[in-house]
Amino acid sequence: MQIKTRPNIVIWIFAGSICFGLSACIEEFEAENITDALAGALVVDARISDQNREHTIFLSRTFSLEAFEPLPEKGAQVGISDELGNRIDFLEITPGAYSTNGAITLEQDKMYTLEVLTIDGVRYTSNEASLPGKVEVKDLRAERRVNGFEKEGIAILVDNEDTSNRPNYFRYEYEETYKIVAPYVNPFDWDEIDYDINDGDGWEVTIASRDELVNVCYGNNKSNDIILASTAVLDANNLDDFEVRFLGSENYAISHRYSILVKQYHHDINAASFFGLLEDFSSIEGIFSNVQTGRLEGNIAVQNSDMAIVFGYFELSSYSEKRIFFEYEDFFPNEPLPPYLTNCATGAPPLYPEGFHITPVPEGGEFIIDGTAGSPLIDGILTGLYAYHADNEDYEEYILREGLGGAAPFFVKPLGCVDCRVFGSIIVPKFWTEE
Amino acid sequence: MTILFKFQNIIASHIRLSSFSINMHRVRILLFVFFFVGVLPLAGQEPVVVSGVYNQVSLEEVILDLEKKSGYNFFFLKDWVAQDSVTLTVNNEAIFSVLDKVLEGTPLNYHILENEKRIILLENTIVYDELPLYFFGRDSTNVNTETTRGIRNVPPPTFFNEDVRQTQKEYAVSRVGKADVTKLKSAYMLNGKAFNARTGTVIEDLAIRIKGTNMLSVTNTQGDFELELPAGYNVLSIRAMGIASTEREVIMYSDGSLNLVLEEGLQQLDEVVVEADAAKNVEDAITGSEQIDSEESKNIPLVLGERDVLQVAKALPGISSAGEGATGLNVRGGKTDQNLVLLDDAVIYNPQHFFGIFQALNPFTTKGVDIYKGAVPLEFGGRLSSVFDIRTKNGNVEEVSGEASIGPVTANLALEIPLQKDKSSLVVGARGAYADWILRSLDDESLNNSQASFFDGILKYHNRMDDNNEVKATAYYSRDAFSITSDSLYNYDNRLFSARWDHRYNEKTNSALIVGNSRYGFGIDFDSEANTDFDLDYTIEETELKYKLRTLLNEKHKLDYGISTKFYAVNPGSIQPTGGDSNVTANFIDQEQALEGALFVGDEITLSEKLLVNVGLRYAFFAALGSGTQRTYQDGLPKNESTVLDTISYGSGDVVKTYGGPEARISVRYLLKPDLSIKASFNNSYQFLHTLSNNTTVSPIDTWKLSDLNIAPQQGYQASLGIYKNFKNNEYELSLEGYYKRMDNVLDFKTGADLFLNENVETEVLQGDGKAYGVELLLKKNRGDFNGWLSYTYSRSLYRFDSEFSEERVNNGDFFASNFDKPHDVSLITNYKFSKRYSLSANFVYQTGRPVTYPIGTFRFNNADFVAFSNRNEFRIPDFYRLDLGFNIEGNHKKNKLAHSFVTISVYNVLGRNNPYSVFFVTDNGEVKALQSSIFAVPIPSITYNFKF
Repeated sequence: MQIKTRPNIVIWIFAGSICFGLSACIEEFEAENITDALAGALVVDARISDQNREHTIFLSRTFSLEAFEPLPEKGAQVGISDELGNRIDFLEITPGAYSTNGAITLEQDKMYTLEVLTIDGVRYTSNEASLPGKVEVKDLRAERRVNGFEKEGIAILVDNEDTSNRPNYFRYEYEETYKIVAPYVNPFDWDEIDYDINDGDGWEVTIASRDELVNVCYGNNKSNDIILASTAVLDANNLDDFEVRFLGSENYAISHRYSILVKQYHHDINAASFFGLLEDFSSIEGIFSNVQTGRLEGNIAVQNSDMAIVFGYFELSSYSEKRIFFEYEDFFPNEPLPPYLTNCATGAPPLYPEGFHITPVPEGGEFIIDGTAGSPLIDGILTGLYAYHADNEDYEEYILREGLGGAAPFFVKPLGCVDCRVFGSIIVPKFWTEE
Repeated sequence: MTILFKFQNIIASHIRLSSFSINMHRVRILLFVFFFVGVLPLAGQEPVVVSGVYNQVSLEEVILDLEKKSGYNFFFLKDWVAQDSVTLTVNNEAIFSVLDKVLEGTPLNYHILENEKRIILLENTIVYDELPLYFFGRDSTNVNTETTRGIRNVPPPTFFNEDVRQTQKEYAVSRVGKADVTKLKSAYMLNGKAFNARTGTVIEDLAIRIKGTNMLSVTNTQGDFELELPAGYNVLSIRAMGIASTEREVIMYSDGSLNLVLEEGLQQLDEVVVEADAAKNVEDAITGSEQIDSEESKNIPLVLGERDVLQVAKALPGISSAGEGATGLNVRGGKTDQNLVLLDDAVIYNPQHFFGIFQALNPFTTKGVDIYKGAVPLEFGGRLSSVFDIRTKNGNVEEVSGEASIGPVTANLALEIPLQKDKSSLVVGARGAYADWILRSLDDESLNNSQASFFDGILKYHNRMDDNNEVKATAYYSRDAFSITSDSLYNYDNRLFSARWDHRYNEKTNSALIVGNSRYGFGIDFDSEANTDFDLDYTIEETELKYKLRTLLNEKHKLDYGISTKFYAVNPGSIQPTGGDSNVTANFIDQEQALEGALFVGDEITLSEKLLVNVGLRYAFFAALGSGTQRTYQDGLPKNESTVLDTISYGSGDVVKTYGGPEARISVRYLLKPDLSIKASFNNSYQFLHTLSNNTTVSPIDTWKLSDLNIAPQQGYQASLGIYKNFKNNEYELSLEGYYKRMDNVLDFKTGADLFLNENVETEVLQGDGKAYGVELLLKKNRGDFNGWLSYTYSRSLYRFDSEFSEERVNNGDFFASNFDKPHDVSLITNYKFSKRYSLSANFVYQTGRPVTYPIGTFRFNNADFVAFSNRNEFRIPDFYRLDLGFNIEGNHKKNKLAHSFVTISVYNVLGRNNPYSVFFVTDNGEVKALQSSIFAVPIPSITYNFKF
């Protein structure tokens, strides 16, 4: 029987706060020289569920912290075999990604082994694993709550159902989708942008009607942390009210309509302890106490080499998922919305910069701009900063009074305040329903 | 009468203040001048005359009568006039003439303040109506004092300050003679007789020396002596065979006599102990022992102004911790669970509050701590590395007194209450923290509900019934609680009781009977909106009975022997659902019980004046007891689910497994010179309980586990060799000590072990061996305005966990550096007193950075990047250094002030060095981020106010 007492997190936050009061306690630093001393050990990412679909196993090599991407392991022979010797091959589709040929279904009560033969002739095999029993997500719901930090928000809670009498271990992932409504609807958009000083009419920006409105979008977000749950210390072997996600009441995602798909992977105790350790080693721990880190042993071993090292895990799981929708009004009726995703202050960037000056080219005909200053307005539009908001009525008068330099023809808003495509897509997801 | 006393006090305080003489502040000098200007007698005034007949009338009545008749107000202390009686007839005599007669034969002088119509009586002393020569300083510092005196033929007044006395305040200062303006001299004759206090016989051949000079007198066969002493304050240093060396303070006002009543040497007086302590460093046979006095450590600046003997201990060689804010101490490369920490003879499992930042001991009730890191005295055992023997003060048996302090985080109070005068007393101490405000004051709403608090309280009874019996009893409780999220509360507490009866059977044998009970526990209360609320607990409790005796067989043999036995009861963990709808299953891991015992006998043999040998044998015994179940595993295979052979059930009281063996405690001292010695020692020991922790440093929720069928006791062996030298009359101590230590069956854990609520924790445990060695250098200056110490340690601490099976190996079965292996460690502790009231302290610490397990690569898994870690402790965090400064202000020394105050202003980590404590590699949004933590990264100022009453 094991329980995660999780004192570390608490101690950290606590100590951290003491330190913030008195000094700075946890800070990022530039880790130097974390070059890959493992000289490219094989990393096996093999998470296979009982879903009837195409499954993919990823092979790569360990890499230096400075490098951004691991090198994919190409040309390996990958397959899983059951105890009778039946083998399912995984073929390399893209570098390092090995997929089954179409949908497959693994069977309950069979023992499977993962086998990898890399191009350098080293053979890796996993321990035998089997699919854990099916545990369905029974209920998924949202509830308005105050969390342990006294923060108000929406908790996404899972119940599942299992009648077996063995403790169960679960891993969760989620995908959330939410409606975004840009606060400033505008039927006009930038049209022509003339950034040539020598075409006779100088720089110019025009506007035109939009083809379609871009103020309603759908944002999307995937879980990227390890979420684990177990029934090991519980009376029953099902979860009740397990909090998969907590959204603070200031989180914009819940502003209008929100949907979450919770994916439940039911795995065994060994997988649970591997993922648990992976989480412990990669999350902030106590200031005053830190878990002794070390080599993370998976369930894959090198068979024919003394030199090779392997990381990773062969996880078999049974899968269940559920999706829910809710509206902000359901939980926060008549309460102000969370702040929008970005600050929507109005700006008036000039077409020509302050102190703008051009000189005719001696050879004739053309002008060159003194200095290197470009047009603040055009530069902003081209880099996707500004959306059209309104015309500046005082533009002409300003030019007459002050000259071209510093004159702003338009008022603008940050692009995302008008065009929500900055934060999502205007295409309604297939699963989306209103009501 | 009250005014009268006040006046006396003013005089007294002026006299005290003026002892600063040349260095005095201008303001005080002005006061002083003002005062004496006021007392200058007016010349040419007709004296008042009085008449009276006194026959065997008490002096007090005479004075009161004169007061009535003369119209003068008399100022005096009742004590002065209580004893003498007067028989005298005067007729119209001037008041000064009458007083001359009345006071003849008493030690009293008088001074007339004509203007105020006051007469002040003075005991011994006289009022000087002019300032001493050079009171305001000298033009040249090379003036010969004796010549000066010669010119005036008058010694300067004796300003005696209670606080500059050089000896322990055991004896009152003797005042000899009566100052006489007409007979002021620079030296006076002192004569007297010396008596033995017990027998009443005279003491011959007693050497009486004026301290700091070569002037000496020796008593004759009648015990008489005669000696010329400089006027004023002197210290006599008195020595003779069979007589306790002692010092007496005398103030010479004129020629006079003083009889000395002296104790025999065998009954050690406090002074003797002090003398002995001074040379203890050189003369003891024990190696590797240290002593810290709580009161003396008050000047050392520590974080947030908290006095902390355990933090001070870390500045001594061979004692360290994994870092700031790491609970537990590592002594000579040993793990934190290898220290036996005793508070008044009972074990205190966690003597620290708040993750090791503060000690869990009231600094005002704590007398001090004796630390044994090398040769451990025979009576102690059960831990491999060290003994911290912390003692609480005995209460004041004279009057109620107390001490209190207010700092930024804690408030302390200690009271000493006499119960029976000169016999018994009670000490009560309480201490609380108010750290919550720090959390609350932060501009972070998520912390508004967090809390952190701690408390400790102590009660000590002491009764010295007679010369042969002394009884002490202590009760202690401490508790820490902290939480951040409003749904979980962590807490831990210590509780202990102890009672001790010291008894002297006869001149040769004395004994101590000790009973102690200690309990340590922690808990987590989880109370959220989910259905997983629980209450989780751990406790360990032990009860000890010890009887030890010491017999002085003869001049050569001092025997120590005794028996001790301990009973342990451990609740290794329990979890219970709380609230109506919790789905948590109640789970109680089987209780563990065990009996630990020891028989010991040792002899301190004085082979010659130079050679002292301490030989001891201790037999340690341990029995793990039922009820409970234990698994057996296949021999030679890793202990895991698949190698289980059998599960054995034991009934209540059944012996599960016994361990034990002999422990040797041998130390030798050889005096090369009286102040130079070499010492060597060897000892081995067993340890039957262990902490389980999968943290790199200790956390308060680590559990203690008793040895059982599958977990063997740890064993340690240590040899040390040192050279010790004292300089300048023990003012300086220098020692150099080396040690080598081996440890067997020390515990470690498989990476990521789940230790709590694990019924079969042996499947997660690794047992291996350790070695530690080092050289420790300590230079101490014990006295003087500038004092402190410098220590340097070079040490290594290595462990090895090897097995045929990779799951039981760490770092391929090679030795690796422990988490607290810091080869170079320098500490400098200094205090400079630039006056009686002001002193400045500074600490400096430098240590090699501690080992950490560092990433050696990155891998991608589950769409996120993670780091792969090196072998354990292959890297080190940057070196640690820190400077702390403290400024201490003693309150002024007015005698009748309500309270004596002491203020410490300190800045911890003055340089603001951001000493990394540990490093983390966090996967955040799928990317690896390198983070480092530090505990006190900026200078931390604090001010603490202490006062005594």
